[in-house]
Amino acid sequence: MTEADLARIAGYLPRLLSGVEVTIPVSLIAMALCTVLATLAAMTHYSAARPVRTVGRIYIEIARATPDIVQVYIWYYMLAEVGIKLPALVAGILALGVAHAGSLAEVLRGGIEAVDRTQWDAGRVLGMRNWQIWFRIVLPQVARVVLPVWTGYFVSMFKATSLLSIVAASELMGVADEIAFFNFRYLEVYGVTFVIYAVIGTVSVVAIRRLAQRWSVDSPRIRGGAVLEATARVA
Amino acid sequence: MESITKQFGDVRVLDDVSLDVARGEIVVVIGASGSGKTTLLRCLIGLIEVDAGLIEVDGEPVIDKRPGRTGPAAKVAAEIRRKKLGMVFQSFNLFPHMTALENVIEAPVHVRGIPKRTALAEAEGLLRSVGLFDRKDYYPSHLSGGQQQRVAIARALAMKPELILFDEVTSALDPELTGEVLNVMVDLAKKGQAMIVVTHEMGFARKVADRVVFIDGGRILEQGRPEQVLESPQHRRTQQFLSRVLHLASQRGLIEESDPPATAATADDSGLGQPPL
Repeated sequence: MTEADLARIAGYLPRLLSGVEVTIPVSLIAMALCTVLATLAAMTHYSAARPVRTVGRIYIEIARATPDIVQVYIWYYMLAEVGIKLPALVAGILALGVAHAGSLAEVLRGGIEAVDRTQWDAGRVLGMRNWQIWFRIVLPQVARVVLPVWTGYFVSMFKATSLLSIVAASELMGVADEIAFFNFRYLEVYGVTFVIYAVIGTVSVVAIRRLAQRWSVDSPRIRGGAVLEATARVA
Repeated sequence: MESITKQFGDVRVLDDVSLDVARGEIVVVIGASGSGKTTLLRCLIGLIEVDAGLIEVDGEPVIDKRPGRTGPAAKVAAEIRRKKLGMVFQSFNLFPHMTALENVIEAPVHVRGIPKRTALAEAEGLLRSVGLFDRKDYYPSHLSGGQQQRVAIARALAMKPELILFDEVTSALDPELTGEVLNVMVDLAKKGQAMIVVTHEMGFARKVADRVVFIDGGRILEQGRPEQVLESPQHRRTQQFLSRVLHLASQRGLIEESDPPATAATADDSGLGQPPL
């Protein structure tokens, strides 16, 4: 690599980094949406109302069965077709959030199963309402159990934001495409992009893991601790 | 609490059981595994639906499934139960992601809606009364079974129930931890707390019960003063049950007339073929 190469890279690096500035918030927002949807979808499984359970089931199955890229196209083009023109990033966030929530919902359901059913009894005899038991008793315990797996989902989401380049969103991958399109140095541009993804992805995994460790110092004893030990090993 | 009657559907787990508990009364329910003791408590507090019968709490119906009657709305019933009834479980069921103190204030703050500061003060007092003030910031996983159960009792008390249901609360504990939990219950009894206690602790029954109820096959076969039921049971099934309990205890050479709680604890520990739950 010559000095000229480095100078050239230094020339477009700021543009790539501006793409990072889009990629990171998009990942965070899409993951937040994904987590909320997945939680609701997982909860439908326990609804007393059959239609609610059915809708939840159908959503989870469809979301899990369809490729992210198709979902991105659908949200972007089809909604435009029926007159709803969403900015590329908004369409992308919705698409990825909805798409990834299906499988995350299944993970959360596993976490809900791991919480002892007697916790419900305990909440009920104290007069807590269902939503209070969900949000104050059950889900906080689920969160601790599924956090390591959730971290994996977060990284998937981070990577999946690169798909938004197909609808010309100016996130990291979209910016890279633009630069390479004009300077024809595909390997170089995508190589630099690769390194940026690798660094951010790795750093965020390590950071979340650190956070999780601190959070679970007094980790709950769930099902004799078996689940927790398993997750601790994963982490 | 008045006039509690109920019946259970096809499988008669509870078969036309009637039970009145007076204010401040301590009723101990005994009987073999599967006799319906736990079901009785769970019906009372509303964890299980009954199929027929009437349950009244303080004169107000919470379930009325007598022929031709409709009970109160579920919300109303839940509200009455919340205000008047509490329950402590065999397996403690503390919230594992909360400290002892957080466990105790959870329902007062979020169900009774009292200010957090008041709840904290009350909870600290309750934890002190069960001898666990110094453990208030411990998570359940860092407490022994006996300590967890005492926190669970404090948690139930924090809702100021008029009647507390104890469901085999010492059955999951090692014998040496049983005493500390029973002592807390004896203290409560002295303060006039009404309770229905499902237990195998005959010593506890003898010491604090106002009334002992023997349940068998979902029916109340016999009830009366503890000395009456425990020492001169009228019903054959009661005699069988009690002799089995005492036999198991004496077999292990652990029976001591002078120390009933220890006796009962070991009697329980020795089995009766009682699996947890």
